[in-house]
Amino acid sequence: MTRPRVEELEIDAIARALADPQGEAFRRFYCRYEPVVRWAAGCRVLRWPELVPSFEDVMQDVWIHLLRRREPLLGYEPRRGVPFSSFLALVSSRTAWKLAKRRLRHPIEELHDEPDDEAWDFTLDLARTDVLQRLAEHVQALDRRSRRFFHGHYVDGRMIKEVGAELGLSDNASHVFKLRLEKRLVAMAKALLDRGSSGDPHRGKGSLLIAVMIAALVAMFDVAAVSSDGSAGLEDEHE
Amino acid sequence: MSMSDHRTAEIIAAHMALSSPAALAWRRVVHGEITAEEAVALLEGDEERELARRVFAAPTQERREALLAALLTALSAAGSEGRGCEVPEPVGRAVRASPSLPGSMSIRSHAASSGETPAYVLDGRLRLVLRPETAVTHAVQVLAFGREPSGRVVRLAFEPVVDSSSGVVILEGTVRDTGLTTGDWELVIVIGHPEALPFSWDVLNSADAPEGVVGYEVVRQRLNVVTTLTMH
Repeated sequence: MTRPRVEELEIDAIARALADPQGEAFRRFYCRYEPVVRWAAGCRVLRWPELVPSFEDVMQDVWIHLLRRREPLLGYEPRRGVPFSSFLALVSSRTAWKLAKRRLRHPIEELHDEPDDEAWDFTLDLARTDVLQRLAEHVQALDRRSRRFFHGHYVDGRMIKEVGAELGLSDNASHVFKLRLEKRLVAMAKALLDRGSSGDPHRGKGSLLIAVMIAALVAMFDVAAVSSDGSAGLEDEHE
Repeated sequence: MSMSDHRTAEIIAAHMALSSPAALAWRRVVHGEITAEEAVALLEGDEERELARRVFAAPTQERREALLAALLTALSAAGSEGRGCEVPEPVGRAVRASPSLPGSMSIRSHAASSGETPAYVLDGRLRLVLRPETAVTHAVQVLAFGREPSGRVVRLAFEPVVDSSSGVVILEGTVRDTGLTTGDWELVIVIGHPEALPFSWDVLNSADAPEGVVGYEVVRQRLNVVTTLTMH
């Protein structure tokens, strides 16, 4: 995936948007990044023609999911070198894949969801285009059965038992096969990322989460200042 | 499996899905670099191109404003920052604790009779509450089967609701919609870690279940499904 051609917003502007989806900052955020989310979600939903008529509903679900479970976006750190739009595209793509499968009532065991405090460090490291490209090449170099399973389930979004049956696997063997394949992919990813050097003491300090917390505090301060004396809290506005 | 195992695979797949020639062409459309017609021309022979044209057509400014307004309304209705929106959530969640379920599960049913075998009306509702003896705070997932006296087994279509703070599981639905029919049934409900659950009846009952994978419990409940209730 090459980088979506988007003029990125400043991290503080993104933080203000995510801190208050009802505010003007979010409007700018939405207008700027709506094409990214549309593209990323559309590329997945297109696999299921029956969902195309309700694509706008899926889009809204994706946005709600992104804003409601903001952990992936809040974990974003500019210093890791991944453009925000690229990360947003990946997260939106994955979210759309899950929500589409959910709409199609695929088995719930295929739709794991993370708890709110699940760490996204590893995923953020993965999200670099060069790393993902290398991993994609690794996938293409897997044995035929693993490759077909990966494409059938993870890329095309078909049900595990359906893909497994085509490969001569029972239901349970298909799930075991999936777990083993995931572990192989994680091992590949860790080897690529050389996780042995991951003791970065500054990790997390530049995350969007911190910026959002600051934006929220600033907004609270503004509201408090306005409500205490009935006027705007910033001196500049009196000039 | 850590939660990032499947996420890693899903993120790689997302990257691959967004890297295809068709995806790259449609990216140019959503960013206004080329028209949908030009993308269609680039993708000669792509059977999905007409559907794609509908999906990727950039909304007009008015349309985008309307979509944003609808989104904000949905978020606002759900409360601050959108939390609590009515987006259906899967039951499967992270495995975060030891793979054993503390204590055994007790089952409480809402049947239409107080006899030994509770009776349910086919078009009525079935509600089962499964309560662990001690609170279970890690992820649980549920499978439900129905077995007839003849030995025929059906997988029941429940949408379980799990209270993540206590581990209480509620199975509720219209009897008919679960897949049950009139007659005597044994419900076989399997509760445990999402990873640990057997994925079919055969696996549940086979001796060669994956070794080292434990952490589910089987709860059984007999019931009778009738077309109408006879009052005594």
